[in-house]
Amino acid sequence: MRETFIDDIDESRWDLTLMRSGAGLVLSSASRDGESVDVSQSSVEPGDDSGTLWLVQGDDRRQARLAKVGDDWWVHLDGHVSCIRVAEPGATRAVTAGGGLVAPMPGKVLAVMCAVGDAVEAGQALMVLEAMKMENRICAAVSGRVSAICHDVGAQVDQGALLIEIEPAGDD
Amino acid sequence: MATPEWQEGAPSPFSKVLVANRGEIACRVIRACRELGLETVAVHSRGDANALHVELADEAVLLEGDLSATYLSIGAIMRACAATGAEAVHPGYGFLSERAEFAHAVEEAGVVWVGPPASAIESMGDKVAARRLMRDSGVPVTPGGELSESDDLPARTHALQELAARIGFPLLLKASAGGGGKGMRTVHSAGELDAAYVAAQREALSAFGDGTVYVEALLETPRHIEVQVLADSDGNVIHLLERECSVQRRHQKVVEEAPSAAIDEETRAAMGSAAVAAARAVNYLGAGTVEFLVAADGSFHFLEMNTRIQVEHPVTEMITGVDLVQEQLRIAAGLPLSISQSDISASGHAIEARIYAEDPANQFLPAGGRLVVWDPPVGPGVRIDAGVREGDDVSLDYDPMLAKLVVHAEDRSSCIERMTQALTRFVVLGATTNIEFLRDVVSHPRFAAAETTTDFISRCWPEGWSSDAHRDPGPPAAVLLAAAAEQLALHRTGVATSPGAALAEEDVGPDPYNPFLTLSRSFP
Repeated sequence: MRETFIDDIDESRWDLTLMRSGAGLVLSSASRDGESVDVSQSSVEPGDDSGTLWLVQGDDRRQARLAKVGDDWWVHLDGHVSCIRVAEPGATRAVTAGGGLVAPMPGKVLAVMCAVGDAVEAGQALMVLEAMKMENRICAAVSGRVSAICHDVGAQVDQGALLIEIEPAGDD
Repeated sequence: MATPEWQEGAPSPFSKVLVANRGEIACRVIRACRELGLETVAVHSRGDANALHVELADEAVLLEGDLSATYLSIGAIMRACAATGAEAVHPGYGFLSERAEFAHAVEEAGVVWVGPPASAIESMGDKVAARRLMRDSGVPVTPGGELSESDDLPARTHALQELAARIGFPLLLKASAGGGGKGMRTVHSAGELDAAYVAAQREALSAFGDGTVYVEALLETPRHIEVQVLADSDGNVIHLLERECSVQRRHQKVVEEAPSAAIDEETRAAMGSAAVAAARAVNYLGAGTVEFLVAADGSFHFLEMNTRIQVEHPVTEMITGVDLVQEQLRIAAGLPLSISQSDISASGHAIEARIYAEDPANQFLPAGGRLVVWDPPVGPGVRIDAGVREGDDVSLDYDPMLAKLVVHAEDRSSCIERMTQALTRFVVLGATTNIEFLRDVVSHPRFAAAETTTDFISRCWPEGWSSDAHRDPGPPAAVLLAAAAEQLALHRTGVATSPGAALAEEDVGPDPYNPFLTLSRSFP
């Protein structure tokens, strides 16, 4: 699986490919601003807490703490905190198991671009949420039919609040 | 509620204390009150309705409106006092703590003021008058002088030039009513003087309502060393040794320690005596701090007296074993000090680091956000005085200090190591803080060498501070971790992602004794 990230320090754009290995992931390739770079042997293993990961490089095992706020991953490693943005174009893909969309951070509903009963495609922008003066597009995670819109324009929503429910098309 | 036993026979007993503050100091005072068997009343703005100090207090009173109608409103706080039947008021630091009219209002309402008499606040609040008083009491002051406000501007600028010629450059212009660096200007040459004076005066007028400015010689690379004093109503005045607070940014302290590594026993004793003399000169009562600038040659000069508890009071508590806030409350009840000068000695070394919600890589500008993760270090000799907890939003309406991390160890070098480790383990996610910068301060070779002068930060980082988190040619560790977290869908799982926990969820259900289950914590 390939993911694009932006490092907040120098705004470099990184594309990383990680391969599953047991419960963890191994870094297999990386490119910076489109240019491929050599990668050292690195893997990441889940910790015993949902906000903890282990970075393993050779004999070196370091514990990291992570939290996602909006599209940003906050990463604490060895006393250093980085903020890494997931660079999917403007979209937040915070999804609940049933295909519902939840607020990635507290904010205000700026616009609703769908109505109950609409057929929507995965990736389609359905709502705009404003938080900390930043606009976040809330996009459908799955294709299906909008079964509920939980908040109107102007509503203040808490982090994790259910915004839109989608009945997935087909079996799941 | 009856007055606690320790107040038996006290001249002015009280059982309920209103804390006219917010943040960590409000929490600190509330806890001290609770240990002494006193009830507490918090006051808060609407935005602070869910703040930690409100949760900790026995009662809370909502004050409606902006800053001037809430934490800075004498009227609103006095009404809260009357409504709750509070018999004493603790002002904390900042806000109204050094406003003589607040002390007056409290005393006039027949309520006990946990602080010095209004007259002492007035004497020390007027920096120009305080300088004169200290000089007359034999306390050394920095060479300098005052300008007569009755003169017109041309006459004043003329007097200013004469004064500057006598003192020499560089010099400092300071607001008489000032503090916190407002209304302060450094002047390096005669040419800059007039413009700097006008700017300092304007700033002083808007910040304090008083445009009086005075002139002081600027000591080259001084240290900021202050002495803690305690005075009771029987006339006992003692000092509790010194704190060094030289590491500052924008004239605000960042790291403080006790004792100072820069002064010898002779200077320590002389500064202690001078501080006691300063307190006596204003008939001081309660806890106060006499600040000095110490020049490279070891000479010390009175800077100002803070007539309240200080932010950095914990380092003194750690090395002396005296609870300063509890002493304040005893003194306010009219009881004599529980300790004498001979009881005071330093045990080990203590360092405090102020945790600010600010971006040290961007001129220390305040930064907002939510404390999605707030996980301070714990361990022997580690103390946290915090005003926030996990999940709190960082308010940009107030001072950006979130907490103080204080460590104590047997000597300075082990104390530095303990602080370095504690800062490394301090995890805050969701809001930018200065934690990594603080670690770089205490682990800097110049800090280890006690080269802590007030220009420490600009000397160590002349181009501004930035993180030196190692940067490999390959992808940064944080990017790799974020990618893995995204792929493992770390943010979508409320419970542990380890296989054991997943199994526990599916097969066993929520069994509280299941060893594979960890406490569930949900992340955005």
